[in-house]
Amino acid sequence: MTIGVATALGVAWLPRDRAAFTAAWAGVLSAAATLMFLLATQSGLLTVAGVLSALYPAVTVALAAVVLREAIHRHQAVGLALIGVAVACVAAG
Amino acid sequence: MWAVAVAAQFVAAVLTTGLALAFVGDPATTDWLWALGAGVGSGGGTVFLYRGLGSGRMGVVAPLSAVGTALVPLVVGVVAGERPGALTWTGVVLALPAVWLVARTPDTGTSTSSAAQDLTNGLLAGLGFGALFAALGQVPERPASDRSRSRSGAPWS
Repeated sequence: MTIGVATALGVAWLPRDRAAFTAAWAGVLSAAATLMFLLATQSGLLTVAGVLSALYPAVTVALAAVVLREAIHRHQAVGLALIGVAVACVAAG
Repeated sequence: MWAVAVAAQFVAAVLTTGLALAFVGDPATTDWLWALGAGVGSGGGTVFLYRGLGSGRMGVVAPLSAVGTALVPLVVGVVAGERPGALTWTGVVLALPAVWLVARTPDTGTSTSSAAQDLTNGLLAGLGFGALFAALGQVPERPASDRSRSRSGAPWS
């Protein structure tokens, strides 16, 4: 589907440079995530698994701060703290 | 950007197929349809997210897609009859503004798209990823042959 849209838009999509091939690791993680999500919804509620999975930007922001030493903005820190509380509530509930 | 998406999705597809072959199941036709829906959601979500992030305001597109991704499976689950407890609900309701705050990054550089385009890209990305989660959640653990013998009436149980 992505290839189809890229072709329709007339942009290059064939992986050529190193960066594109590094993205293969994202594919490995993506496949693992799909498996985990399937296991989660088979034993738990979709409402819970779906909402918790949708919190993935928190991991992106946390990794950017830790690995890339990017600054976390104040509202993002508030969001991260809120996410911590939210996950704790769901885990305890 | 597109090459990155293609490389990641290609590897994910190969690995998932490998996993599926290793753990041979007994999927019913409806399972295949849910899988198709999940694939369309995933591919569509990626396309609109990349389009939105590439040309638009990240501060609008990213949080919209994140909150949409959380909302779709939530609504589908509740409509399908899921009733989480009060504490779980508290966490779920807190998670929505929280993920908005985390995903909202200040916009750098110049945007080449209109506010309406950013809105559309963000919403469609959220709808796509949300549909991916919601559709994946419909695939049950029990094999199709087992399900036809003892139908509980609920396709997700």
